[in-house]
Amino acid sequence: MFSYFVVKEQSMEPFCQEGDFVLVNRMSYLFSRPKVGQSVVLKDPRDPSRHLIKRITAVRDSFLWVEGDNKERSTDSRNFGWVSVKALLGQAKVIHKTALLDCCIMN
Amino acid sequence: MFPARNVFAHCDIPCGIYSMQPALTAAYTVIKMTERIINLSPVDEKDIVSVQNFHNAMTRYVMAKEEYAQLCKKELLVLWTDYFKSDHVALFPDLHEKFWKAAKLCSRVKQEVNMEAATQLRVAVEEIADMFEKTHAATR
Repeated sequence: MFSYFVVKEQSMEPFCQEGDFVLVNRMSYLFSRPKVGQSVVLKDPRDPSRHLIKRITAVRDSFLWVEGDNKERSTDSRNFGWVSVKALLGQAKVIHKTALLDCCIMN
Repeated sequence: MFPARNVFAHCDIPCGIYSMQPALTAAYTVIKMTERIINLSPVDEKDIVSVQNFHNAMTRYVMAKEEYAQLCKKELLVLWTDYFKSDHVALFPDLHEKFWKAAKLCSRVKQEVNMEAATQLRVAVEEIADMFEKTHAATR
């Protein structure tokens, strides 16, 4: 139901940074449609064994346009075009590594 | 607990490796080679060594002009398709036009021995370098 990942690379800065944790709700899109503005984890259309974190910037029928928040440092729909909603794992919730660190210190 | 997998906030090319310098150097080399071709001293056709040296020098200048014009085009195309993004086009509405013209000039300086075209190429590459510097500074 949930998957969790560790972020690599910088294309979603400042939203999430390398080393942050990402929790993915795999039920997110069972009963609702993806919406513009949501951050998502999807299969890389060029290499389905790899997962990407991007933000939905447009929705057309069952296809999505996804981009990194850090436009200078992102390979996304601007390179690989529209992606099918079937490539989505789910909506991404980021847990910042600094928040985890704070939590450890407090306890 | 299951081990966490990686999720990539991915970028194909590591940032910070883009530079205008190769395209600028190539454009300057094209000018230099054009200048050398135009100024190559005429030869005494009866002196075989002089004729050989003339053809050798001319061939080398033409080859270098060909090579660097092509390198200039390649470097420009990489910057155009990989470095510059739609945000930059909003900032510089003539960005595509400038690249298009510069790439065409790279072909023209190969086809002809044309100092005017070589100078136009240098100016075009310098204008692109100016856009590059402005966008690069904004993202530092």
